[in-house]
Amino acid sequence: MKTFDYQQVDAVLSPLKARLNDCAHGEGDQCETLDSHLDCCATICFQVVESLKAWALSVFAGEVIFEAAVEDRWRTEVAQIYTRATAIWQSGRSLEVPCYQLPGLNNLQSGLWELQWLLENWVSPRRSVAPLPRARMQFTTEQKAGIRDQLAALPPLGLENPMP
Amino acid sequence: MDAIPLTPIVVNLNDSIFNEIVTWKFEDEFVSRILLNDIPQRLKYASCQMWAYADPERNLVGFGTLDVCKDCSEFSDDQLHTYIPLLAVDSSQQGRGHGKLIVNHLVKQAACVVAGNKTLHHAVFLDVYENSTAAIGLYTKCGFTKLDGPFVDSDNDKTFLIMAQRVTPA
Repeated sequence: MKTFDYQQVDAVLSPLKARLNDCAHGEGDQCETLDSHLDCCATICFQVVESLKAWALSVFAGEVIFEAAVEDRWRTEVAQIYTRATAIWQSGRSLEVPCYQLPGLNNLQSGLWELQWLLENWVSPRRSVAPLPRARMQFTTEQKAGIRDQLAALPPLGLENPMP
Repeated sequence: MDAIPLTPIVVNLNDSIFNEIVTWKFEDEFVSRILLNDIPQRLKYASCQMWAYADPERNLVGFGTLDVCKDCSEFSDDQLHTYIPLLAVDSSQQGRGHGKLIVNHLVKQAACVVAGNKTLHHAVFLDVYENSTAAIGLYTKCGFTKLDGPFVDSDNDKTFLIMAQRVTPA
């Protein structure tokens, strides 16, 4: 099993935080308009969500050792990013009327919703109890071909539907 | 005897139904362990959905879960696929055909998911310990086929099977 320490959390999140600041200040190459700033922030929120999920699922699959200090780091950093992104969303919201149309604001709201979903009722990642997520099955080419044949030969789904 | 019709209810992490289900006692303590450890993680970090099932008197009789993941990627040519991590019937409600209805509902949901996303593999998968003969019998009756195996769980040296059912029409 691999380790994943809090410095690795920083290595993942620091560039995203720096980009978030660039986007929020209207700096950086991608963010030439307010809407693109908001869209840029939304993209970063989604990347933070994916990074956190990837770590949690690595722990679940038994690929990475769980460390409480790492979990604390994720929670603290992601909460800070959420707070920062919320402030950006609020400033965008206040300019929505004069700007007429800000699709990036909706994207950012979706990103915030995903971050909030992860932070609220936090679930501590743990190695799975069920065997399949932890299993490291290795098949030969012949075995894989046999499995493919087995799956291809499965009968199609019937039309019976007993549930309302 | 006809099975009692069941109504599926979507369950969210930490809602009142979820909190009720985790208090149920199961004959197999493994079910409780997966329910408490694995399912919250799948609901939070993966794409898992959970349903509780109510009988006509509105009693909750069981639950089921369906995820979209790569846990069986060795079987699915590395494609994302639907997977049933866990289902169970309340021990006081067993022997009434609820299990079959729950499995059929999960298979139908998997079919809907696959129909809506053509990049997913055409089968729904599940894993079951080889000594869970009643569960294997239920899954077989519901159309699941045993794939190559058994495999050994390195945590407890128990052997488990992987079963699959196609969820696309002819």
